[in-house]
Amino acid sequence: MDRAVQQTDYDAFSCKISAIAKKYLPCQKQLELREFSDYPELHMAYAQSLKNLSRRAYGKVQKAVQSSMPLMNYGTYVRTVAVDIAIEQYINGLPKGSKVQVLNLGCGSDLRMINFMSRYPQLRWIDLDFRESVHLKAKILNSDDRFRQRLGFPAGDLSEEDYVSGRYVLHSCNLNLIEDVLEIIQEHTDPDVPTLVLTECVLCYMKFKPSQVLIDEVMSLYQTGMWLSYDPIGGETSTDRFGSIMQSNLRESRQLDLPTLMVFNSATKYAQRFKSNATSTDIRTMWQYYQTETIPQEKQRLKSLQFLDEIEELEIILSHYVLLKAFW
Amino acid sequence: MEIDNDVAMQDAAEEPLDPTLDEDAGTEHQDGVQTREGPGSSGIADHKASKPLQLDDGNIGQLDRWIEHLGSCQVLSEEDVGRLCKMAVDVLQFESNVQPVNVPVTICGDVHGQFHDLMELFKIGGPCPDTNYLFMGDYVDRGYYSVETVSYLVAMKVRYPKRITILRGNHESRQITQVYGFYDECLRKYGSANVWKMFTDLFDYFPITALVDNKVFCLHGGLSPMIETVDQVRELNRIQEVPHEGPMCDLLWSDPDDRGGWGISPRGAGFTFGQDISEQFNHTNDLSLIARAHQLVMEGYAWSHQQSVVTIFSAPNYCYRCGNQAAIMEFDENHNRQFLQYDPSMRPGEPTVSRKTPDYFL
Amino acid sequence: MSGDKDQAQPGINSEALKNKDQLVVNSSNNVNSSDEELYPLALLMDELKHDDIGNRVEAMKKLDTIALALGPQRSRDELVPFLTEVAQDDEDEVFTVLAEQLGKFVPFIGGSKFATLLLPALEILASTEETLVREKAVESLNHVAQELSEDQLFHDFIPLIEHLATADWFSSKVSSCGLFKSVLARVKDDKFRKELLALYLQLIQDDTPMVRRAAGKNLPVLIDLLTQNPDLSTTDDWDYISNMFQKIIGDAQDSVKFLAVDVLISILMFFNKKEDITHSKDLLRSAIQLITDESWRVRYMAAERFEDLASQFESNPQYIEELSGPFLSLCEDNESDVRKGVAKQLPGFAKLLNNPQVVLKKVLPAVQNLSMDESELVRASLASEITNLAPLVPKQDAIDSLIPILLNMLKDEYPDVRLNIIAKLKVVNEVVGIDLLSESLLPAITELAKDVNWRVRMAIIDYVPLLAEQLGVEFFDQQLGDLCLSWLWDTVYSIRSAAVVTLQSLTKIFGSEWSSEKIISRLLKSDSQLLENFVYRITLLSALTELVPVVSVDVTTQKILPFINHLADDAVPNIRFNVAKSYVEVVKSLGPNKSQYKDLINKSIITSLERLRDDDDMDVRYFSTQSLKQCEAILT
Repeated sequence: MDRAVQQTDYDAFSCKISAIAKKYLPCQKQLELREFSDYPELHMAYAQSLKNLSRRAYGKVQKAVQSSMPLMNYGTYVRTVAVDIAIEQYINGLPKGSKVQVLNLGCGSDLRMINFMSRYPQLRWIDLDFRESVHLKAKILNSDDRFRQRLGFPAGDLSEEDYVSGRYVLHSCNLNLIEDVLEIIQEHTDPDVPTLVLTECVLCYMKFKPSQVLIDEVMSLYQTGMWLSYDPIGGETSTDRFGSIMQSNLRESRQLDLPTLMVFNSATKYAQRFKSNATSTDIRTMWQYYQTETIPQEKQRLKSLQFLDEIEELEIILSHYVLLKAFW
Repeated sequence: MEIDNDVAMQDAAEEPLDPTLDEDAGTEHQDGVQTREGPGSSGIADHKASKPLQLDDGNIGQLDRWIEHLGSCQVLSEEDVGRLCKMAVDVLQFESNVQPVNVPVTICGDVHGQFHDLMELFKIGGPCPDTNYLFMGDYVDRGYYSVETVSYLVAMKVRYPKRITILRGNHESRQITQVYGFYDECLRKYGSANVWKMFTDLFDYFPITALVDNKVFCLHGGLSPMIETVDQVRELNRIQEVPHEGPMCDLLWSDPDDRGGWGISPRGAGFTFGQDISEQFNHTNDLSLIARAHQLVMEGYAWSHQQSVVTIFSAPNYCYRCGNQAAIMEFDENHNRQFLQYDPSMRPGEPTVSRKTPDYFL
Repeated sequence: MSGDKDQAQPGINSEALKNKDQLVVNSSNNVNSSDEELYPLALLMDELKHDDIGNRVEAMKKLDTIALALGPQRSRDELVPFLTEVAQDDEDEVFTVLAEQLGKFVPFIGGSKFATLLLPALEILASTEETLVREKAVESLNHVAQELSEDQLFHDFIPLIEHLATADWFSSKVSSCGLFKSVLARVKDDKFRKELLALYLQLIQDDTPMVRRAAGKNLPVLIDLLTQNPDLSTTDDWDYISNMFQKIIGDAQDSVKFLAVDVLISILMFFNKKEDITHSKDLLRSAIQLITDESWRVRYMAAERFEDLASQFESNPQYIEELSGPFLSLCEDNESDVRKGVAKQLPGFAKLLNNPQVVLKKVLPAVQNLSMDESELVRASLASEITNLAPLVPKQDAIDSLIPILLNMLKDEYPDVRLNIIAKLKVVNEVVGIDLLSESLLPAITELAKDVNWRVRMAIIDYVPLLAEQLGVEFFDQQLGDLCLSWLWDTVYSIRSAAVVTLQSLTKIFGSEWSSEKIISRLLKSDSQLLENFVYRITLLSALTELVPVVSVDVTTQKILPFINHLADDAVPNIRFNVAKSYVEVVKSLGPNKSQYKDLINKSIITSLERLRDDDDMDVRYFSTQSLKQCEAILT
């Protein structure tokens, strides 16, 4: 099971590389920022290193780039940009220069930290994931001076176990084991510093109980913060077959379970999981997000990249994904 | 009229992939790029006949054998696809841009390579040639059996030209099939792009609209601001790759919309058109209905513009993940309409390893 | 590989493979230098480094061709080592094909003498994480093992099993469990066999549940091997097996424990074969322990296998009697899955009870309860077998007690329950006759005939001829005739088509005269408004044509042919070319008396076909030409 979940990281990373190769990412605004100028190069360099370490993983990236479905590129764009903007808004909303830390739970191959740490010198970033994923990521980050320099590591050899710099921590951790999680984050973070917790397609693979424990324990550890979570929802109407088909597709061909997909099957129900600790929550489906938050110039730009002949399908799928913000 | 003419479509698919990722792609890929150039390069239309293909016992026997073979979801050899496409050119080149179709006929929407669901369609609607069929395009891409699906329909078309009409959809195009799967499927199943070249060359000859008993105007997408009468469609030169803009593009790409007038299409090609436009068009041309496909509708069919326009979609559980029903429309000799809805066929057990998971964001 | 060889054959040694770039250069050099011999291998290697996995999979599928081209010697020296390398770095799809191919590879490398060369690659594949790859590798290893001599087994295969079974990684251990069956019965040495069983016992007790599950699953296979070779095993062996069984039955994980049911059945089969009853009592106690286990998964498995399990105690009626209490408690289990499992076992166990009174007193009340179970799946499961109870009780009791239950089930709201009962009515009919059921049968059939799901409608149509046979003509005419005709007007083609076939079957059962009167006459009087739609005209044509071979010639000529003639002028070409096809059927049926009907054939049929041959429509022309040819062939 863990392995099936771990493998989803390659899906997410492949989608991102595909969206970058087709110039969906980074978004126009980021393109204009100095700190994001090497965003495509960094990702491509990471993909190249991956090739030397795991043919299996690279095979996926290769396939995704070759097929590069517009729908997947759109969805990846919306997901990535929505999370990026939410992070940025959170940091910008803090008093100028205030310390801030990001806790990326189930980080996988996400490389966000590199550009964000350049943009915000006061930011600390903690990446947590399964041992195997962390091991691979550490190897790749270690192998290229570009990564090391940006993440604050000296040139030269580093041991693979120890991927901790002044501002960046990459640590292995099973999120189902709350004691482990708490031990690690207490060691590397400050409970009094405003904290952004990010879970991108993480909670959906966890069983109900451990996921709730994770949410409750982590939220109550930090004084103040924002939880940012991106996940699929099953759909709540009786005629909506999306969720059950998704469950059976993934179970059959990937041995991947989505235990709570049909439990938190609507945006409202999904937000309920955070209600007891949060002062306020904001949740919308990615379709709502795409319709209301994506500026016309960006829509226009996306349209010029590939024909999107699947607008109804995009609506169906994006309506079954949510981005939640819970503040406390 | 508001026209969205400021977006230049980048030919993304024809650009080489990002060089950093492509540095050691084999010669095959370069081949691919080369062969993607030049409509007509497959040679299937090099020796076009001057009159429609005559069927005789010889080619009927061959076609019947192909149809039987394809009916069990097996591909033809590359040589046979070549023969089939050559014959098909000599059938399709003589059809009109507005192909006249008699009643009774059963009108179908997108199939998208879902071969087993196409067989289910025939179980619901009845086998061809006993039942007459009009397919409104999008035979390839997305599903896993585009080659089998389009080969089957083309073989039926050549064998029974009067019993089945196959229109061109926006996916019957070189550019779109490179993005949405048909190109890759041909490479995978034949080891080269030759079959893809033959079929995409053939697609140029597909009629773009049909007129059922002078009353129902059938096409893949929708109306065009540059087309007011059916006669104007007849004047188009359709034998070409689907252009990025202009009337032929619109006919294959446009969608009806709740908003009146013409609007910008979210797809990057074609327009949206309102009820006023549909009603005017039907009135001008003395039509009772516009039947079109192109859009996924959850019930398999959907009325719009107060029954001036109907959308028919014939790929159930589209892309193996959308959960929609499919439908076809029987249109009888008295112009009665009957919609038949259906669900995915029960698929014979495919080995897990060859079955792809539909894409999700994970 | 030696350094010498590296120099002699650049590009195909394993070192070079690690550096893919080098490989390209080398292999293409070989091709350029027109080294024809090396070509297939170089090509394969090129394909196997292709970035597109599809190409790699395709290349793997062609392994046999390549091996054939290379010949046994070079396949051994070059190809197999190369494949062993490949087995270490690629994607699962490629591995799956490789694992499958290697199982068939013995002939290509020079026969069983060299078969052990395949083991290293397969061992690696048997250790991968992906289940599918592992399963293929294990399957292939077992294939290869069949080709091995006893000596090879001892020197190569058993060490491989030991190696896998003692590896750190669970996937290797899981695979090892599937390999013991290839050696266990072939090891004649008692000491060796004991060692193997000792090793297996370790797997049964492994820390990882997945390993214990694999071991538990494979254990019945091993025991069955001992049953097939009843004189092979020793008491020591059985101490081990008994120990294993105790471990499984005491496992903390339900998903392991429930495997004990199949293990127990296999153990019982062994002792039954040996006619050894010394352990029967203990084993019965184990059986009851499993049946009443606190974990529902275990009870479910016991329920699913109940008849198999109980039949092992058949020789002792008292034991069977002792099982009846636990059996009935399964019928009342809290878990619907358990009830679903046991519901299918009722007639089987009732038969073992071998006492109609006990069946009546104990089993029938359970049937009654299950027939009203809250879960539709339980009811459908019961329905699938329950009719088989009918012969097990006295006729009158069947009528008084069983029939009312069946009647109720025919009214079940869930279509599958009704369908399952109807599908197996034959046995009830044989015992009590179907009359008693018919009244409830009708509403059930009518409901199913209107189900929104066309496949349910289809299922009931398929049963109609069977029912008709049992119900008799009178009942059929009164109650089912209309229904059968109404299916012809269904909106779904497949239903109309099945209805046409059903009419033919009915005619075969009830005869031509009946058909003429009850079917054909009514069809010919079909609502004219309905027939304005071509769909129904073509259906009618097809129904009448289908009847031609099974009705008398008179009916054909007097009733059917005029109708066909009438459609020859139909406005819709599809009708006209089907008319052309129908004529052939008519001529076929008149063929034996062709002289008598010469006039009719020539005047009406041939003339009409000749007219159709000049039709405006090309398909009408084609099919009438074909028909004319066929008619000519029949008539001369």
